[in-house]
Amino acid sequence: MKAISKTALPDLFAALKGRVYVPVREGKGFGFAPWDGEIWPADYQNTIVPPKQILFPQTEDLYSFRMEGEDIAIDPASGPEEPIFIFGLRPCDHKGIELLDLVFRQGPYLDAPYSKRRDNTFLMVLGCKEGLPTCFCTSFGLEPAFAPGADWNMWDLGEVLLIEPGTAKGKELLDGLELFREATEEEVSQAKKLRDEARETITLQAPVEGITEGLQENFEHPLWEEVARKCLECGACTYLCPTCHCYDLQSTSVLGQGKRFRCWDSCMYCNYTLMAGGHNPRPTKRERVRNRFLHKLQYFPENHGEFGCVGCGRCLQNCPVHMDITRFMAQAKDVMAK
Amino acid sequence: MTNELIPQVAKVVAVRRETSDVKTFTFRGEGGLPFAYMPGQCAMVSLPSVGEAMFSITSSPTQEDMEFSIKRVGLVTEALHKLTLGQAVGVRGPYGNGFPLEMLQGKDLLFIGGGIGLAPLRSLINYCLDNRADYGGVDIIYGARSPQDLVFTDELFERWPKVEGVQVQTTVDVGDETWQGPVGVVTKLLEELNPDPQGRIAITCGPPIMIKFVLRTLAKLGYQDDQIITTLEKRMKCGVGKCGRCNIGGKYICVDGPVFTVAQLRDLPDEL
Amino acid sequence: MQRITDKMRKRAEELIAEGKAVRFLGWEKGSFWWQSPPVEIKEASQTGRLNWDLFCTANLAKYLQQMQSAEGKTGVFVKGCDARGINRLLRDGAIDRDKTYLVGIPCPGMIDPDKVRSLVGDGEVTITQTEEGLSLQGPLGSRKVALDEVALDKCLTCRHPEPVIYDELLEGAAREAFTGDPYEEARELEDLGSDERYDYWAKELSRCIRCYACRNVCPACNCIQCVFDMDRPNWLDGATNLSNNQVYQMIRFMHVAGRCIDCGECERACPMGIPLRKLAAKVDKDVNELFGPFEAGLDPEEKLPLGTFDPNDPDSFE
Ligand SMILES: Cc1cc2nc3c(=O)[nH]c(=O)nc-3n(C[C@H](O)[C@H](O)[C@H](O)COP(=O)(O)OP(=O)(O)OC[C@H]3O[C@@H](n4cnc5c(N)ncnc54)[C@H](O)[C@@H]3O)c2cc1C
Ligand code: SF4
Ligand code: SF4
Ligand code: SF4
Ligand code: SF4
Ligand code: SF4
Ligand code: FES
Repeated sequence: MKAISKTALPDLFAALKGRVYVPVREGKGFGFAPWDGEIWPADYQNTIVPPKQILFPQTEDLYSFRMEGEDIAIDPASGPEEPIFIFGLRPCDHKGIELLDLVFRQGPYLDAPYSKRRDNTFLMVLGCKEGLPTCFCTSFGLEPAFAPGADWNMWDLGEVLLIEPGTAKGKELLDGLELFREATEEEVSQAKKLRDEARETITLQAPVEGITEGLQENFEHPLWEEVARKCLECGACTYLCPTCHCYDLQSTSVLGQGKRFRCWDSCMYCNYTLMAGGHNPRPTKRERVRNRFLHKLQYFPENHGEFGCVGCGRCLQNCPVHMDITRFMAQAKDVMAK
Repeated sequence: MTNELIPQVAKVVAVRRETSDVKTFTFRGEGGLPFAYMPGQCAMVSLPSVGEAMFSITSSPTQEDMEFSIKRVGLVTEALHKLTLGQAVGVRGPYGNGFPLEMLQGKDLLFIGGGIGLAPLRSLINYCLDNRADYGGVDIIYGARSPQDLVFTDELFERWPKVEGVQVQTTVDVGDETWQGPVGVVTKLLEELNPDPQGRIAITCGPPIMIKFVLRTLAKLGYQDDQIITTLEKRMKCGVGKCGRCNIGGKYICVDGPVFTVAQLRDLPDEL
Repeated sequence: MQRITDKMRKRAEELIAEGKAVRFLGWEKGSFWWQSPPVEIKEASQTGRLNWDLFCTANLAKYLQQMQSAEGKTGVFVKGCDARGINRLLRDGAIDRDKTYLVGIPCPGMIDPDKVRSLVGDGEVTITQTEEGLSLQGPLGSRKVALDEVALDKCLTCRHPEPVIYDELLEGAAREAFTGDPYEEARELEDLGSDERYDYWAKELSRCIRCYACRNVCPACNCIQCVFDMDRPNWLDGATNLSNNQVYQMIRFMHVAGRCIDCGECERACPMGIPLRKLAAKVDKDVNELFGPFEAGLDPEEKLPLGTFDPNDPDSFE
């Protein structure tokens, strides 16, 4: 384990060859932005928009086109080239990226823009000292202050950051820079203590045992109608979720010239599945809310063997009518027991 | 790494009007076929300044060119209908699982199509006829709303019936003075013909309401769920299982489908 | 609060039993101290879920739109701003008065959880009402405050804490109506130079993720099909960028001009912390200056400044 004084962080960021994203104050909370010389806010907890927006931007050009007489000239958008360093993401968001990897970097097709970026991304995870009241990462077997498989895990000991590499790439970077010293034994045990104590600060729990199997049996349960009742069908919960990956493809053009881009979309929106002729397989919010919850708790486990929720708490924190996935899970468990 | 979402450019080399709102287009890429495909697979066809839509490839891979039959229903399809010879379009694909050819090998085949739903079936029919020895008897039952709504009439009335072991029956919901064939819905014809389920696979495609009644009739005639194949349609954007919108339960119709046996569909939630 | 909660439960139970309402909209206690989300009660036996506290902020008016197709009358508990929301929808013909039964609740003002957090932290927070005001306990300590020290900004300038439309009222006034200048903040923004003002809004709106929470929560945004949901024609594409985001909010606020009831729900719903109430206030101020004094949502038959046709209008329509 290595240590770096926080005052030396600007040197670290300057030494990284690529674009460095750090948490910054944004709106009512925090967000990730390219480092511009400021050190990240000390009271930083989790960001409002997850770092998925760096790897899977909300709006991204795919190609530009030009109609030339009978012909079409297509010019692919130049892909992301620069290496990306995300500094200070939380373990839940690290897991969120691993889950997006399952969607975008696996299967019969790869998502090229995402994969290219991801191949060139270095993740520097900062352990949480204390969860927010809405955090329930431990329910999904995550640890608030340690992300297995992260390039770096870091712990904030006040004056210094402790760093432990978790990948070959991580070790190489750590060894290659002269900015670090060996951590003292005292510091290592402090970090361990932080890690253990962080776990205890997570108070919210969601009942995950058997939820997938239970939901498989209850597609038509009246509970769906009941939970969906208050939903306003905005997309806040999905846009802010680190694992939601739905997108739309759209074009803009003027006089035969324009570009095609993709942008986030949400299964909560009324026209998302609307078909030619007016048929909509998910016509009301009962079906849409059901799809969101089932995608996280049933379909994702069926397809990838992992839950599609990491317990980051963003949806329950930001939903204007306080839709709470943990409460839903508890209710679902109740009806399954009956 | 190529970006799956970027189409290649192909040219319209033939346009054929099937009905008042269906046209069949032949596309050719720079090196011939834009890409290899199997019967039942689909592709995204685009006019970049308008948009993109998913269509079944209606030609058979045994043919030289790639064909799409497109019904005019909205923005993109309207613009596609204005295409003339030599114009360029974008195409990307192939998408979807296609028909389970292994399962069909050596079997008698029963095709039941309605309206534009004959488009994906046509690919498989021509493929089977071009590999005639691999399949048993072929029965084709096709229905449309009126004689003017029949598609692929050349094949229905001329080419297919001439092939050994192939029977084609066409019906219309409402006839007119020119129409001499059967009148009534396809299920009526199906019941009358009553093809023996033994050693036979039924493959059906058409409007949802037709499929619903066809499935019911087939069950009545003794077909098992794993003897019936159908194709599904959902709103699609990416075609590659990432954009999220075409799912039924955990299955993405664009990659896990669009072709399913009825037995497979029974395992999916009811969200058609 | 408990007294009112008890009364609510009792009245809802009675009204459902009497058949005056087949269901009731109110609030229940949520998962956290700062949440009291909307709830729909369908049986007299469930009225125990109803809860009244200082977090019943969510405006219930909007839900009446989805109840239009349901059988029978929907009972609704209304605060001052819910009531104005209902007038708003009635005025637009979006809901049917005969299908609602309104029980007015005098509102003391609702709490802004962020203001509490900044005083006592988050997590285990308890808030008790005392004679003098509120006693807050949290991980950072305890504090005694007057409600208005932690109330939502919109409540501090609320001109109608008592419902303006109801079938019955649970109790009398719980807070004094604001009589000062409602446009103080709007003036402050106006006083900035135009470049600074542009920069201010550019900075704020560049964060918008176009989740449409502000629209979906708004009782003045009651169109059955919103222009932003249409794909033929597609008025605004889905790309999030400053210009699209500006167009979005400009169209939305022009559309709620003279109809906004200042319930502040848009700002509360916005996850990105965009100060939408300031935009609302500016538009409302302009409407007042251009068309004379007007407050939306006071009367179900009010004449809307931007929705009233007069053949003698000095401006031509060409
Ligand atoms: C696997 C598959 C195979 C298909 N094969 C064929 C075929 O061989 N021939 C054929 O004519 N049609 C086929 N379709 C249907 C075709 O994709 C739609 O008719 C087409 O997308 C309509 O696009 P549009 O722009 O003209 O209509 P729009 O103007 O986009 O839309 C009109 C309405 O259609 C909806 N819509 C948009 N995209 C789709 C979509 N992909 N599917 C359904 N509704 C949509 C819109 O929400 C709107 O309500 C197939 C669809 C799928 C999913
Ligand atoms: S969910 Fe866990 S990892 Fe994520 S911010 Fe909260 S405590 Fe940290
Ligand atoms: S944020 Fe809440 S109201 Fe909005 S779509 Fe999600 S659950 Fe519904
Ligand atoms: S569903 Fe909610 S809690 Fe779970 S990962 Fe998504 S935003 Fe976080
Ligand atoms: S709620 Fe906020 S982020 Fe969402 S669309 Fe409105 S202004 Fe934008
Ligand atoms: S614009 Fe905002 S403040 Fe005005 S009525 Fe709508 S939600 Fe309420
Ligand atoms: S069309 Fe995008 S997932 Fe199927």
